[in-house]
Amino acid sequence: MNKNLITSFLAIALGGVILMAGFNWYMDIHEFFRVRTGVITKADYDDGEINERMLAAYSIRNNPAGTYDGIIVGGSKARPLSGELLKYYTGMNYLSCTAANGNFEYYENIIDYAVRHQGIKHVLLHFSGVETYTGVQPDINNRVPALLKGECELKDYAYYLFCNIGDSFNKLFYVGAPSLEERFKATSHKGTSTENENNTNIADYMDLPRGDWVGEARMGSANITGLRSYYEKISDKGDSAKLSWCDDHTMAFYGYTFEDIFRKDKRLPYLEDNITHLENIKRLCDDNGIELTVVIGGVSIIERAKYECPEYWEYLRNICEITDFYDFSYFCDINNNPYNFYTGNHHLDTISWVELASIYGYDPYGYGIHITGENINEYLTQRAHDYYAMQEELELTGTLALPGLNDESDLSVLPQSFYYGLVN
Amino acid sequence: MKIWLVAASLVFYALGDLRFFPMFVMSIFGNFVFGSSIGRLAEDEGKGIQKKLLLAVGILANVALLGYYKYTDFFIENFNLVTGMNMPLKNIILPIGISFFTFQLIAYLVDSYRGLTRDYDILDYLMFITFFPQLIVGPIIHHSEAVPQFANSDNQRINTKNICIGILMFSMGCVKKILLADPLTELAADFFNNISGTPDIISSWIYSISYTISYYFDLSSYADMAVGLGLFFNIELPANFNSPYKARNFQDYWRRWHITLSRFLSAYIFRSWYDKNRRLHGYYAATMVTFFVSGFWHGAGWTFVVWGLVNGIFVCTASAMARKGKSWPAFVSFPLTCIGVVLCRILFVSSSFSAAWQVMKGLVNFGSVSLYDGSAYPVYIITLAIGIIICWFAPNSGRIRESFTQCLESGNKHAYLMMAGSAALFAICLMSMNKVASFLYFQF
Repeated sequence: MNKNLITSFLAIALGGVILMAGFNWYMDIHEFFRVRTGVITKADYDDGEINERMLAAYSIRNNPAGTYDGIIVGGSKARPLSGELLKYYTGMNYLSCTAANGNFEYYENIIDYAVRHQGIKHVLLHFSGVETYTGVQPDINNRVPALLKGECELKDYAYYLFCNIGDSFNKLFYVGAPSLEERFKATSHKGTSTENENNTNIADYMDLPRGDWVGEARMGSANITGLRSYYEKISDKGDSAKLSWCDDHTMAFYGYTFEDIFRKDKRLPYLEDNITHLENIKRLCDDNGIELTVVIGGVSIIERAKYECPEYWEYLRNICEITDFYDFSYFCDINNNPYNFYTGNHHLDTISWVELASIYGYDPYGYGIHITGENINEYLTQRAHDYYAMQEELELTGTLALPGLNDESDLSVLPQSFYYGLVN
Repeated sequence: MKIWLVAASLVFYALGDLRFFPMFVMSIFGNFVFGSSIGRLAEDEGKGIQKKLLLAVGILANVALLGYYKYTDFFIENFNLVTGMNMPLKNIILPIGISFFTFQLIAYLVDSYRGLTRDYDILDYLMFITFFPQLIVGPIIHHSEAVPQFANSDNQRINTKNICIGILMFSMGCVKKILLADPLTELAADFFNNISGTPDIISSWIYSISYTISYYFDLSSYADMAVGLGLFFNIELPANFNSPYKARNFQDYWRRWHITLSRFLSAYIFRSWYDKNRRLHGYYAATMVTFFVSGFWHGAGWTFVVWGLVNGIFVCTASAMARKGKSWPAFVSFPLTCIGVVLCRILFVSSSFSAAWQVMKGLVNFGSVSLYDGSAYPVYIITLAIGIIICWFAPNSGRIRESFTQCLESGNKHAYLMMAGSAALFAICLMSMNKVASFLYFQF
């Protein structure tokens, strides 16, 4: 009897595990199995919602070489860099490979994978200072897929088949949420652009004075496309709600971070690693005749407080020694205006659009500096000067007079002239 | 077999944190040398002073090691507070299981002094300290119950009955930990870590009871798993819990809660004090000293010390009532004891006295019902309700084990049903393991 009992236990336990693995496969809460088949693409999700590294990797694998001319690589701040908009400037098709909690290890992984599998011509690499103090996140939505690391794919199969059964059960309770199919139908490829999608036109962006995408049916809601604008969140509450949104999500963090900007003990453990990865990326691109555009995006004061220091400035110099880059992270009114930031760390989508316009020669706001070996010294001197001037202001007045607090100078709404300017 | 188990147990410890492995090995071998020396001297009546000296040095070395790792920052904080200085904290990481194996080693030294460990083989001694199921969070086993089992060659044969029982116990432990303790701890810990004012009454009660329940499931789950794993090797580890929340007073409660710790403290702290003064006030003094040590052992903070003393007062009160032949009816004593346990748990899990006080005020914050934010979602409330029902109305794992054993011995088919149930629950646990948090007692 005892041996039978032990055998029964093992059989039932094993059967139960197999049954639940089957349930995980059926529910596919992390979309691993659907992503592999190419049914689901990056455009279906907001950043961080599922494992975007996996989405990017399988999007590349599932498309034959030559489908895309370029890739957009970066963290969550790079997500608003629309492939469609970029196509307008370069005439090439792009695949967005941005992933929440970006880090340079992933950037090198995905670029290397794209070079080996897609034969791309252009890489737009967009990062910020956050990569200097956060490394690889181990959770399920941020783990690097085996495919990207050149490991056996069975590892990923096992991981997603035997992942937490509770998550699959929870999905059963999502009553009222749109089904995956509904979401898919309601969404087009915001982050990507292909030759088949020839409906893309800059005119689509011209009707965005309130931050809304054209046509709900075409682009889906902001929750799906990842559009970051106050107006999407507060459209039914009146314009005054912008203030309360910003107060809750952005301004709430400002009061106690002013002094942090000038803290001396900042810990930036990834400076050297990032430089090594960037060197590898540059070499990879050069060896394969790929154009590399490096962009350091706009940052709020809150985020700046975590890394702005002389050590970081030296890091910028090291980047410049590897490649020229477009910098939007310097001290300026756009970055200092809290209303240009949807959360403490993320700027509005409109800031990304202005960044792209600036890189490609249309610059109505004077935002962005092209940093090369010739102007790096002048640039860093100015950055240090602005930093210490801000410190002096804080010491003298006890606060910082930020732009936008008493005026409407933020870029949450881009004027029609911005879009007309692009077209003309 | 024994060498293999010792080696496997050492590897198990090293996998936890390799940095502490040399300290651990030196500690167990050092104590064996001390224990053997004391044991040899115990045979020679003329060497009493040397024996005492060796015992004192051995105990002091163990206490110093524990004190260094566990209490250095506590003493620095208090030194800074008293002197106004600003000595930096050391932030020393606590080696896994040090609080537990230190007690076992001290008990071994004391009993060597008493001449009770003379025949111990080094391999059996190593098994007693390192046996992996009990190594890191107890139960705190006594050498007199463990070493004879390790020395018994019959226990080296495969025993399918013990394996069946072991599987059942291990599965019950997994269920308690993964399906009950972890989900309850998650929100409760979040609540207690973010006390900034007096919380609303509903949150205060929900999360205080949650933490009380989850602590029991967390610690008793490990004890069940340890007992189950021990049975795979035919080693009977002592039960650590006996439905503590069914207690009618605090004396009863401490006979049911963390039994092996109470047993150790009773034998080596309480007895040492009480034997010196067997009058009534001697009993109360010994009780308070014992609970002071218990509080200090649980954590390096004044909240833990006060927690211990409050428990001591409750136990003394229960004892005084028993001596006078007074007792309350069950419908009074049972809820009163439960409320006392919840209040003590609030003190135990709060980061400071003020945080504990805020939560206690929240328990009677009657005007705040409408402020409850509904953070305890329905599944959480259902889990809490199941937890409460199990604690207060269901048979404990010891009773379930007895029923299962009877079924096994009588060939009753119910054994298959129990095994199938535990297999199904075990499978669910396996598929939920990537959310498992560490055991709450890892920090002690």
